Order: sequence, then C-alpha cells, then structure tokens
Amino acid sequence: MKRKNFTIQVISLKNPCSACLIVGGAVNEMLDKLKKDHENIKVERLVLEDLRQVHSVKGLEVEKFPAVIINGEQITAGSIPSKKYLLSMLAEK
Amino acid sequence: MNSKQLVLNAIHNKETERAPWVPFVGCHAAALIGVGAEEYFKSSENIVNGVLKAYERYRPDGIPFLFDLQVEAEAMGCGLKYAADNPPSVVTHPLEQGVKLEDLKIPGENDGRFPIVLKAARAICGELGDKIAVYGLVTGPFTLALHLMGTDIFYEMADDPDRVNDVMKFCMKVCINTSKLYTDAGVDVIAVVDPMTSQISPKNFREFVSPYATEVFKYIKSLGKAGSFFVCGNAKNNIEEMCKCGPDNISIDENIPLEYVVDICHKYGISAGGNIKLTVTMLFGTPEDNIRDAENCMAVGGKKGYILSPGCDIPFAVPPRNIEAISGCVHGEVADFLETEYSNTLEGIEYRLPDYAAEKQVIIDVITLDSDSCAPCQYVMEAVRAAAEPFRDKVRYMEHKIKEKESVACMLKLGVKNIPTIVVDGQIKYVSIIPGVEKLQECIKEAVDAKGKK
Repeated sequence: MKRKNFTIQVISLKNPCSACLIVGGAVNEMLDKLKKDHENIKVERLVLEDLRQVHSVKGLEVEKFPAVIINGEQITAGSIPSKKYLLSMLAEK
Repeated sequence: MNSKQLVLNAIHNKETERAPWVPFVGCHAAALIGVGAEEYFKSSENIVNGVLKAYERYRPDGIPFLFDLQVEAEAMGCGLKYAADNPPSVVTHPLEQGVKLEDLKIPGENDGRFPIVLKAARAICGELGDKIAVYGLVTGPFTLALHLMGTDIFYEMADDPDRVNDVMKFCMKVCINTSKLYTDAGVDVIAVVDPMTSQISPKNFREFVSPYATEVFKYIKSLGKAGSFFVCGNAKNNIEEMCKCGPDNISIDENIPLEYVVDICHKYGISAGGNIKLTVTMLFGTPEDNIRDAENCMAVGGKKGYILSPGCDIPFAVPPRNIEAISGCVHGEVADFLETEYSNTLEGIEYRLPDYAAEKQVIIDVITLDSDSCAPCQYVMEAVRAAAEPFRDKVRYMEHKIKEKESVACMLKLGVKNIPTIVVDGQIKYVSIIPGVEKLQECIKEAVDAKGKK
C-alpha cells in the first residue's frame, strides 16, 4: 500500500524577531531531518513580506509565526511541532 | 531623577513618576546607520554608532548594547548564517556533530566575536552609562543548549534527561561567565534572554531550566546588578516558574497578556516589562498605532515596577517614526510629534475653536487617540460621560480622535501636549490622568457656576 503524500509549508514573516528566527531555524532543521528519512514529504518555505499576504495562504488561520501547515491544515503557530505527532502522521496510509 | 535611576527603580519594583522606556534595539540599529546586519554584528564601531544613533533618535531610558543571541554559541563552535536584515542564525550544532560536552570550553573575552562585542559594550557604557541604563543581554541556558544540541534536545529531555541536565549545567556556567564579562564592561542590567523556554512545559521548565536559571540570577545579584528574565513566545504557563528563579524583572512579548504577567510578577515582588507588538504595530502599523499600543501597555503596567518595551528585538525595517511616536508618547510630547509628522498634511486643515466665553454651555473637549481602541482614552471618556450627565444641557462634550487630522489641528490650537487630555471651556484641566468622577464634576460645576455669573 502506498504511503500518503504530505506537503508541509513553513510560513514565516520577513524580519522576524530573534526568538522567531530561532524557532524557525529549529522547525526547518526538524523538517529537513524528517525529509531525509521520508520520501513522502515535500517541504515548502514561504516568507511573507506583508501581513496582507496572510489571506493568500490556504489553511493559515492563526497568525503567529513561524506557522506550519500540512496538506492545507495549520498544525502550529509560533512553536516547534511535536516530532511524535509528525511521525504518526507520516505513517498514515 | 535621571533615566538610569528611573529604570533601576522600576526594575526593583518601586514607584516611578512614569514608566521607563527601553527599546530593544538590535539589528534595527544597523538600519539607522545605513549598514547591513552582518556588517553591524561584526564591527564594534558599527555597534557603537548604531546604539548612539538609537539613543539620539529614540530618547530611551535604557537600551541593550547589543541584541544577538548567537554570540556565545558562535564562540563555542556553532556555525552561523548571517543575513542582510536579520540577526544571524545558528546552523550547526557541535554536540550533534559529535563534539563531546567535556571538550567544549566556556567562552572568554578573546573567543569568537567577544572582543568586538566587549569593545562595543565598554564604549557604549562609557558614553551613555551615566545617563541611561545599559543592558547586557546573555543567551539563556536553555536556548544556548538548543544551539549546542540542535532540536534533539526536545526528545532527549524524555529519552536522556541526565545528558540534558549536563548540558544545561555547562550552559549555566557560560551564562554566569558572560554576565561577569558584561558587568566588567559596565552594564547596569543583565537580561537573561531564553526564548526557547516558551517551547517546553512547566514540568520540563522546573526540571531542566529552574535549577540553572536560579543560579544565574543568584550570581547576577552577587555582582550587585539587576537581573531580567526575558522570554518570547507563548510562555504563559511558565511565568510563575520564571518568577521562582529569582530575577528582578520578567520581560515578555505580545503572546502573553501583559495584565496576566503584571499580576503574577507583583505577587512575587518582581517587576514586569513589555509588550508592544513587534509586527502588527511596530513594523506594519502607523505612528498612531504605536502611540495606542504604548498607551495601552502603560495603562496596564502602571507606574510601579513596570518598564515599557517592545516584545523582543525591534525588526530591522521598522520605520523609525513609529519608534519616535512611542518616545513622544512616553515623554508627554505627542502633540510635538504629531505636529512634525503632519507638518505637510495639516496645511489647509482648519479647526475653529468655539468662543468658549460666549457659549451658553460649558464645552468639554477630550483629546484622545481613539476611545474605541485605546484603554486610557476609553476610561477618560467614561469618566467625562458620567461626570457630565447630571449637568444635562448645561454641558456638552466632544471627543477629538487624533487619528483624524482635524483633531490634531484642534489639539495644537488648544495647546494640548499629550493624550488623553480633558479641556474645560478652553482650559487644560487633566493631562494623562483619569480623574475620579466626583473631582471632575467639581471642576465642571466650577465652570458652570462661572458661566452662570456672567
């Protein structure tokens, strides 16, 4: 049986504060590690120049950044996603 | 009382004549002097020039000499990626790459960028240290541990807690050493900036952060300096644990309601700071938005044990006028700021004041930002409404919202300097004070009686 494919979007703002930069770095690192072991994920990174662009991002509901959206559903807002949750989701068929 | 003493009094939870203003200027200072962020962070001359420029433009009561949470990490072998308009990011983690903890060295004054940073600190403290409070920002132990271990730290807290505790103990020693270096350079306040604690639960905070942060704050106290514990992100659940670590002050960003933090901090006899919104207000808002946010924060924080500041380091591209608007508000000079801000656009805008003496009614002009969105403005309007009500048609009141240019013209004509202000028959009566209804009624009655005698 084929594994489900996942598109993970990491949305951040241009000129984040120091804390958001560190969280964003941690999120990106985690996803890069996951991507190495899971062929069924694709990671996209979006940097918004302006808050008005928020409305153009499908699935973005909570405007805190960095935001992680998986297959159109927001799973985090300003925090690092739980690895346990990500692994269980990636195991979905 | 000078600015420095204002900050120190507030940080030690004392009453102050006004809330001190501490803008966290980091890479934004690079924009002020027209250099890129990388050039800024790698040059003591640029750091000094940037901070002095920020001091000149923003009239702070306190300022950090640098906002860079990567200095210690870089000095211990973390690889950094620099950017044109952001602080640098840590991209490699020595403990993840096989370096052993016992092989890491506590960075000293000659390691990494410490020579640049300390040279800048000494120059800034020399130039500004008698006027304002200079903050030295130390990367908190948990954030530093994340820099050294990478994201595995979050899993090893469960899988290998002893290892995490060993790393935290080492990071505590780094924090202590950096605090000493900055104290020797002349700073007044040591801020332990640990944003990544917002990512962990109170249980994990108690186990992996509290023992080490407590020792750091004990050490800072032993140096005779004030200690601030700074967190960004939604750390609401950890605020009480942070208080128990023994800082003098807790500083937060917009993710946590300021009133919540003020309540908890004051319960522990600790001061609070924050939390002007960085993005919505400072980066993308207007000067009026910034005045509003500052007014609201100051209304919540009060004049005892509160420091007005942004939620974190000011982004590179924040329009300086937004920050100057906050400075104007803090120093009671909103009118002066608006007059300069609108000098071109106020041309042709006429506001004719009524002939107060000839009017049958007493006229109350209330100059606000906007009572719908500014808390102190709302309270003042409520007070005026309640006070005027018994006088019925002998009194009429009007709100002049300075987000409308005609209201700015009215404000300038009346000679009003700050908001909110209550003016009765053309006489300024209450400036940035919310008078009690009874007192305000006495004032109105005086005006009504004076009219009656004419």
